[in-house]
Amino acid sequence: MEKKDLIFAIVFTTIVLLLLVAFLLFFFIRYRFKNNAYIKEKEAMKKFFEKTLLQSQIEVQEATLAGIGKELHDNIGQLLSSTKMFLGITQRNLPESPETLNIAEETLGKAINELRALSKSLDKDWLEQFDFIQNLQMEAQRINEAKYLQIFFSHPEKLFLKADEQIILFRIVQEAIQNAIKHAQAKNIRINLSKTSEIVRVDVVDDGIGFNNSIHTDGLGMRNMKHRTKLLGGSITWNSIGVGTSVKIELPFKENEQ
Amino acid sequence: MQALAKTCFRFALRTGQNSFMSINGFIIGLIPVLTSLLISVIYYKRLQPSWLRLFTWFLLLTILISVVGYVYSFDFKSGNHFIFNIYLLIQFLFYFAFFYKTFQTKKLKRFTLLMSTCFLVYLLISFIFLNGFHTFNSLGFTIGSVLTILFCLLYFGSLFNAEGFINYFKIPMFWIATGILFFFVGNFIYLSFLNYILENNLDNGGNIYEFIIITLNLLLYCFFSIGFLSNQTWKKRT
Repeated sequence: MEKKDLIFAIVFTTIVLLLLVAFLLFFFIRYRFKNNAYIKEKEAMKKFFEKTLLQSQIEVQEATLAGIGKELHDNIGQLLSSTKMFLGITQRNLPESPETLNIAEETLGKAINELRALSKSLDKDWLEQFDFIQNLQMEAQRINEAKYLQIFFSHPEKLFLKADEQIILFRIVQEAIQNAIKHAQAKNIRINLSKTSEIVRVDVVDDGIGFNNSIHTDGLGMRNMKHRTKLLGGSITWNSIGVGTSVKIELPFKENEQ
Repeated sequence: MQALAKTCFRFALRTGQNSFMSINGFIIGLIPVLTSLLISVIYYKRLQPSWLRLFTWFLLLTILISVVGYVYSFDFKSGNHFIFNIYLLIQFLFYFAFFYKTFQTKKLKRFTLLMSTCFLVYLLISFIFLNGFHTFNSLGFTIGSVLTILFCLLYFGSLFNAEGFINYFKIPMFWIATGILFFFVGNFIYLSFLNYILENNLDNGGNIYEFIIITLNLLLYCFFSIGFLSNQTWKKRT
């Protein structure tokens, strides 16, 4: 081999080796891209499966609640109405109706109204006829009438969300209200609904005793709220420092898609 | 013989990566490393993991040694091989330490540590008993290159086997290892035949090697720069 040939061979081998490295890296990267695409697809399928599962769970829950609502309205509601009717008959038969009987009749009337409102709010068909704002207004009104506490609800004129999304959001807020009533012993609850072109935000703020964020993180109610929010693709956070609790729910929102 | 000695001296200078006999070649060789240094300085605080910041100091040292080696050979008119022997030691130990930090498994870490120790022991023996400190240790360079290529391949192998979603382009180490792999693979064949080439005066004037080293330098420091810029951690913050 001549000297020139040898140096040529060295340069040629160097170029071939460099090209080989480049090709190896190319296939190495290509393989990873394919792998990444497969992982993404798998994750999307998993997400879809989880969403379907959650949706089914919610549907089962809604059906159960609707059943309870129907029972309350048709069964207990009827019993209470009959009792009210008998009380009325008794009142009319007495020459002078005692004050306690009048109060009992009035309280029973209120209970019947409460029960009707409650059974309505549990009925999915009824919910689908109204939007979230109307439902929550009625819920607030129902609770305010009991005079245990006051709910102040501020909202925009309309909220463009799909009916099933509105139901889920409504159930989340309902749970937050129930928590404020049952556990926080709140006197005032402020609910603020706001929206931007990208986010729907609901703040539920009460003036109750609050709770320890680090300890009470896994109650059934909170778990349900988290599940429902996840189903809507949003996020939920609780904040409680000393007095009062604030629940912040944020949902992704695209005006054009609604 | 004098001509051969002169050529040897010239080649030894070039093994310092950025030193060339002509001032133009020297400056051209310095541009990529200076650019890379500048980028690493700009993003110094954002470089993650934090030991990536050592690269800034390493690049600074590379420039410093190149300049000192270049100036020394002309001002003192004497061999500057010992400067590049020091650089050879620092460069490879730095790369080995870098791979040691990058490897995730204990097995690979232990292997890197063992190879680095063997390499260090060989270099010290070679400096003290065999070649001496004033002659460029080309065999040491070849062994170091082979080990660096091996570590690069092991790194790519571990990336290949890694599970989960990985975007290579956002991992600084991926770019840095790619640059190192290209540089040492490109250098390897020529330097393996270096003694034969010098003895037979095959690369008259060293022009071929000059072209190879400029191209590889450009590749190496371009990949380093991309690595510094592709840091996932700081990109998320912006």
